[in-house]
Amino acid sequence: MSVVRTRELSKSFRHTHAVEKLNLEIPEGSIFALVGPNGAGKTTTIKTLMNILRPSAGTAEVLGTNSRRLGPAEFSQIGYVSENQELPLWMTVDYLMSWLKPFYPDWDNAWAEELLRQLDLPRGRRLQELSRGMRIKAALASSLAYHPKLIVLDEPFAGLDSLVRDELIEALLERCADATVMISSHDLAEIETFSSHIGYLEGGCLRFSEEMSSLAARFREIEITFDEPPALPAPWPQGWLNPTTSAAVLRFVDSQFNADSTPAEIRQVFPSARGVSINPMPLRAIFVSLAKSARKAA
Amino acid sequence: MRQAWHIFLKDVRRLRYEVIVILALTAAYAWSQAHWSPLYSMRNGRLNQIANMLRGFLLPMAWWYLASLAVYGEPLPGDRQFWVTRPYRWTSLLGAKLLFIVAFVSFPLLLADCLILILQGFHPWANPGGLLWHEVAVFAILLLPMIAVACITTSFARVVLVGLATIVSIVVLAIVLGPYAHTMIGFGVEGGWIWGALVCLVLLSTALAIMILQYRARRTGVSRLIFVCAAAVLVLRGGRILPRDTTFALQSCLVKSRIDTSSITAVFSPGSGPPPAVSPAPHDAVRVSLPVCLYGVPSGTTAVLDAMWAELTLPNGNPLKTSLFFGQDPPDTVWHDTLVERSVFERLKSTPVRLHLTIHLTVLGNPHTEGVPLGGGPYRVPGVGLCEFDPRGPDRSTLSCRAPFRQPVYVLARFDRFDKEVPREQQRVDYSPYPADFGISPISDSSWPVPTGATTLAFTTMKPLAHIRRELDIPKVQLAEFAY
Repeated sequence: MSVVRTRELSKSFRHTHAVEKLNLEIPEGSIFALVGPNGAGKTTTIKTLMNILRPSAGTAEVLGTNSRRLGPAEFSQIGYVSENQELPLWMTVDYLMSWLKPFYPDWDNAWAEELLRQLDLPRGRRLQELSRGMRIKAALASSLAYHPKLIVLDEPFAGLDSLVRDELIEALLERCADATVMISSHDLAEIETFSSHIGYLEGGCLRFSEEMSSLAARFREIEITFDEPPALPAPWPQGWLNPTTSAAVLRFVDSQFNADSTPAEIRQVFPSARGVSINPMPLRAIFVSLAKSARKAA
Repeated sequence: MRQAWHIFLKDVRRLRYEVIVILALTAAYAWSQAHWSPLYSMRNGRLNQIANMLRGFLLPMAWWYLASLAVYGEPLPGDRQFWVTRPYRWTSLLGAKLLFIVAFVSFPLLLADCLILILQGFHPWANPGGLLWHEVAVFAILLLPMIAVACITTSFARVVLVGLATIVSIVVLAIVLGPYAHTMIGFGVEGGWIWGALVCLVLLSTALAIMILQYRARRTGVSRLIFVCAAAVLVLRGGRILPRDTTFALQSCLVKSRIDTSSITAVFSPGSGPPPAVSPAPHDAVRVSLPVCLYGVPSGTTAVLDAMWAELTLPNGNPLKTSLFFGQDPPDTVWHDTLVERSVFERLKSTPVRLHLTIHLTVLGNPHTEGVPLGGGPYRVPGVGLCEFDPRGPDRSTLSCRAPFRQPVYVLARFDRFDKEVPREQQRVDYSPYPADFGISPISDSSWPVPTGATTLAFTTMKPLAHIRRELDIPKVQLAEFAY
């Protein structure tokens, strides 16, 4: 069952198409990372899902409800934290928690206390006196204390030091056992460690959306050694990205790697290859190559 | 309701210092207004200034500021608000904001009004309808639009900018539309209360539409468009949608006639002699005054002119609506007094033209006369209010009266040593059926010029019994015979 489902979802701002015909499904219980370069449409997508923005076309369903009809019943099961959220800065951390408590039937006092303690939040301080990282932590604590079914985090780690990031992730993982998490972030290295699914958004379009394990299996960095500088074959095989040559070495990224067929395919395209090295790629390297490839295509 | 109360308590906590300032300002307003009277203020100009400043500027601006801050606690425009992804019910949120305004603006104002009325010598509960209407009108016509503006802005600075832009628009459009202003009807003119009611209706419906749209769906773009459209309608003064004849026709329909007026006729009376003294015509115009006599006015009643206009048919058959000026003197003769462009007059003066006059009258009756000695006071005059005159005060030539909520519709005063009844200074005849005038203060004051040596006076109050319209067709008239 999908917790989030979009059908041809589009959002335009005057002449700018921020999101175009987005078809996305986030399975229940997954930790879904929505990634992409700046201006890809991640925040717009999330704001449209949260009914903060109205879609220009298409539909989105969140927890089985059309996003345009999300109301108190649905929001009492959603925890949303965004890097650019305007919090009630005049409130103290304690007052923020006690203020929000009556809104949520499932508010868990003990868990709220535990979150405040675990995140080391200064309870008596006003939010305006806190650092940016502390404010994000306060927002997260106030969004987890009622056991939401869906946790939506929009760039929560942007600009935070690694210690705070680790604390946030730790708090999040502790909660995500029975919740679905949707997270957008630039911090690919951090996401890689805990995401189960990933979607890549670029220019408002979803390039792919799949399980992390299948993505990691699909991408490989290929390095081929020749006796003399190679000539690139034409046509260049689809799915082999960003070919670069350096003396007698050719490097590219295979986005459709298959352990059974790819080595044979390489030998067929490059019969004069002296050696072939196939290496798994970290998430960051995958997205750098995707971004480079897209830039070249543009 | 529980959620609305929860939000309300949060707003009280957040805005507690601002609330204290507003309550202090309201108390200062109550004190200054309770001790205010036209004569007293003449003796104490500073108090007068403070009272006027509080009533006319400080208090409304402070209310607006507080209403805006209350709304900005959960701002509506934008996409970064913390609260929009929290389980707020829009009805609770809107209810909490309204409750806050009622608690810290309307309720203190009600208490202040009661205090003012008591200290001014009136009983607050003597006219509960007036008191209730006064409070509801301030809430609906002043406070709700303030809340609505806050609903489509993100800071009080922007609210001030919106206010300034609206004022500039009004000034610019007033200059542009100046030549057409005579076709419109405004406040201070008989029948103007209908235009006022229309303005209030536009304000109220716009405010409600914006508030509901914003709190329910946060459609800021649409709400701002509604605001601009409503502002345009108000800036244009509603004249395009409510011309004078429609206003008076509405007044005749809305106010039920309490007397048979079928006997009243209007007759063109060329032999009535010269018109009463009028200001000289400008160089490029000629004043034309047409006398019309009223016959058949029932005994014990008086017919007063609300408005009159003429349509002149030129020899070529084209109509020409005259600009409007009118006077009335003596009581049974009304004058259609108009300025005709000199070039037009020269062309038409010796040619017989056809004239069609439309006359709107109000029949006043049930006169009640009350004698009052001059000097000392204040005296309680039934139907008028509390009146006082200080023959040794700085202004020995003014009698001032104050009444709760609104002045009687029509009052004349006859002083001894003066053989003519005189109306109020700046007599504003308002036939509205409302129990209270719109304004922040519950006290309405008026004054009369006192002739030197006068020792007594008699007030005569009259009530409107019917609003009627008469048409008068004059097939042939030579304008030159009536040019002055």
